Amino acid sequence: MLAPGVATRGEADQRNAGKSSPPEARVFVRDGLRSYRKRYDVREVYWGAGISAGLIAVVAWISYRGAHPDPSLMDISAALQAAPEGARPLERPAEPPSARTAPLGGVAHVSEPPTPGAAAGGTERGALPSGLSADGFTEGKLGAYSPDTLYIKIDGRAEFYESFGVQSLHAVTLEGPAGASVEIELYDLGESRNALGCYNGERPPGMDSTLENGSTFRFDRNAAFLARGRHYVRFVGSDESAAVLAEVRRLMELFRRELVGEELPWGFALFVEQLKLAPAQVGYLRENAFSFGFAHDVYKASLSPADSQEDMEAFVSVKADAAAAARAALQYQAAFRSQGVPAGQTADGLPLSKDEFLGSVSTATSSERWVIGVRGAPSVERLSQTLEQLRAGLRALPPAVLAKAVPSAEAGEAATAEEAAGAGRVGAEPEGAGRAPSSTAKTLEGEDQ
Amino acid sequence: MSTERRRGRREPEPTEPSGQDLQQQQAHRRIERRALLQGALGVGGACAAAGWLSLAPAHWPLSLRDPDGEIGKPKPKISSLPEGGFVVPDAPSVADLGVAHGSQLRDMLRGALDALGGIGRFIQRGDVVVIKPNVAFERPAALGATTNPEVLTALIELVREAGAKEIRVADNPIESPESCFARSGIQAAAQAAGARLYLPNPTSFALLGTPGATWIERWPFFWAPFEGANKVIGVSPIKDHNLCRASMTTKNWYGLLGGRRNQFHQDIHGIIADLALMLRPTFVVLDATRVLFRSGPTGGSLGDVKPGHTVVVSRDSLAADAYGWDNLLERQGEALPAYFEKCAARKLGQPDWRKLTLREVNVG
Repeated sequence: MLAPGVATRGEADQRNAGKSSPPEARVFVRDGLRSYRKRYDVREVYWGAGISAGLIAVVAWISYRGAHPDPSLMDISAALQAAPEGARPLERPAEPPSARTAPLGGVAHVSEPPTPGAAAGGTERGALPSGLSADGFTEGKLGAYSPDTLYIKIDGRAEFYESFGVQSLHAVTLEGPAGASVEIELYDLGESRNALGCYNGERPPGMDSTLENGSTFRFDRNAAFLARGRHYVRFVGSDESAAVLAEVRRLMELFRRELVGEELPWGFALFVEQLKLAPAQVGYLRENAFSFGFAHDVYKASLSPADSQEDMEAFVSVKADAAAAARAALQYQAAFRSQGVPAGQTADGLPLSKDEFLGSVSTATSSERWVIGVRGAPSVERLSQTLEQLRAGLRALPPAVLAKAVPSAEAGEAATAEEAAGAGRVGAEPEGAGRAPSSTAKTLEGEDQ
Repeated sequence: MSTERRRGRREPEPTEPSGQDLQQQQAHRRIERRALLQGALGVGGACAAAGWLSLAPAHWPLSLRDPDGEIGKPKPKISSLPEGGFVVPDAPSVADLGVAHGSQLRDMLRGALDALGGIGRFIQRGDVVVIKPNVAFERPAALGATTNPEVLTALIELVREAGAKEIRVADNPIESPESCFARSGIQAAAQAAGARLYLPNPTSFALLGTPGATWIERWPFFWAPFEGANKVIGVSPIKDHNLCRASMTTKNWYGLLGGRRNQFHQDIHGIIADLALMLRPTFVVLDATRVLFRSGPTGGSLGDVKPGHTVVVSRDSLAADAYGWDNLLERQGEALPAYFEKCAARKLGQPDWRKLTLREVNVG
């Protein structure tokens, strides 16, 4: 239906045909179908105006939004402060004693800061025993941290625990009377060797440890440290008051009782039980041992007194088979050479490397699937003697311990316990790794620090 | 319909055009030609303009091309600290390093500052002063992981005496700033001394531009306390550090960064050199009343802390740190951490403090 005043194409043609005007020399429309409209329907004008107004409004809105973007698009700092993907839930900090109650006159921006992964309620306790509150100390804030979020709790120190394969940290603070407090940090390191490595890595030189019923622990003024099973625990008291020290001791007993213990890792069994070294002398390096990038899964024992200028260490690592051990021994030999100068051979043909400044000698060799070595020995005689003691100690390891001696999974040298046990007996040396005959296993006890 | 269409297509009867008709025809042709040319020009121009806008390379004038969408993104505001930092002019005949030993903290601090020309050289009436302590961990101050609150109190009092209009205390601990400020005693000390405490929240950060920095050329910065400030003082403990070996006054600025700053640990020495570039303070105070000589930066055992009874003040944070490394951490003879060399290469300080003038005082 057409609006008034709008002619049909036929009517227009009839009108045109009736005129005596010359034929139009049209350029594009030559067949006479072109219609000329003298007037326009007012509703068309309205529609056109409406659509135009709508389009203008859209353009204006886009222009305005472009000039005034959503502030959240600009808030880069907030985005960067957010928790990384995969961050595990953390605690929501309890009100500190004075933070919220402090007069606000002097506080400019007090608001809840971003605590990535904050979770209410403390449901994520990990292996933390229940019933921590006692003797006037009450359980306060609880936090759980993954390797990805560990830096939030201990920025700058997280890498130390990461080097031992930390899987989680659970931290809780016990608030005591008069502002006293004890903070508990419970690290799950996955394996007991990592826990012991971490423990000994933080042990000050010369400080003794106690090994008792599967727990290795020490007290150090206001603090105490415990390695038990796969866990490493730090108890940090706020001061040395009697109440704090008593609380630290109570907690130590509680955790020794509640945490699941494990037998000593095979390396500790070798050094402590076979070679009679003190537990405090033994350490475990999960990666980058002696700053050698290839050296991982290494047990070491410090053989020099803490107050001496010597820095002699014996070390042992297990590989999947004898060939792998022989290859690794060659890597160690090359690495020692790179740090010193060639210094001849031992009596049984092992190449020695000498530290140019300290004058100490180092070498490594293999014995079946074991890599053994000595680093920083003051003399070739001490080095050879120590290597022989290591061999003897390995030969004396009980089958049950040998069965546990497998390369760490991280090392990519997975071998089944059965295979490892079958190949674990110390026997002939690999080719070129000369070995002096030995009878009994002498101990290194006399060199205890 | 069909009849009508046939009629519409019927050719008109050919007639002989008159002269007037021919004139009209010519005029009509001129009008048609002009209209055609105008239309063609208009359409062609519009097509060319549209082609230019949409296809011209992004850097050409008027080009709307945005192949990766970057041009269309909103541009965040980049803040910047004053060019040249917050330093005060050189003064001849004064020491570069002021070292004070003793137990009376206020007197020690005053003595060390006097060696550099006195607090009046640095702070004038009406100044708005930001003081940046290290409040990184929720630890009691006795454990040496954070600035000694008594040193902070003494510093605030001296700055106030010099006539500062406003004193702001600020740091950005990653975890629970309220707890860190409370447990370390910094909050109580700052408020008792009348300073204004700035704790971070997401809106208190701004993107800071640090031209020439390797890692933080543009990075979220704890900006709120710096709005309107004209003097900046760092007061930092002296600590062993697991990654950079020693955390002192230069590393202290790390606490002003926001974002996922832990990623910088992959190049810890590089980021410390960037921090020295980012913030040129009025002066720094190395708080060696306690020395966390191992297990840093967190510590935990009092066995890791020894008394230092010393404060060091300098305009040159690198020199103060080098002095601390040699004499307070007692690592003289060991090579300085790599960040010293990186900072020195940028001429951001003198790592050989022996080349500077040192004035040492014993107080109380």
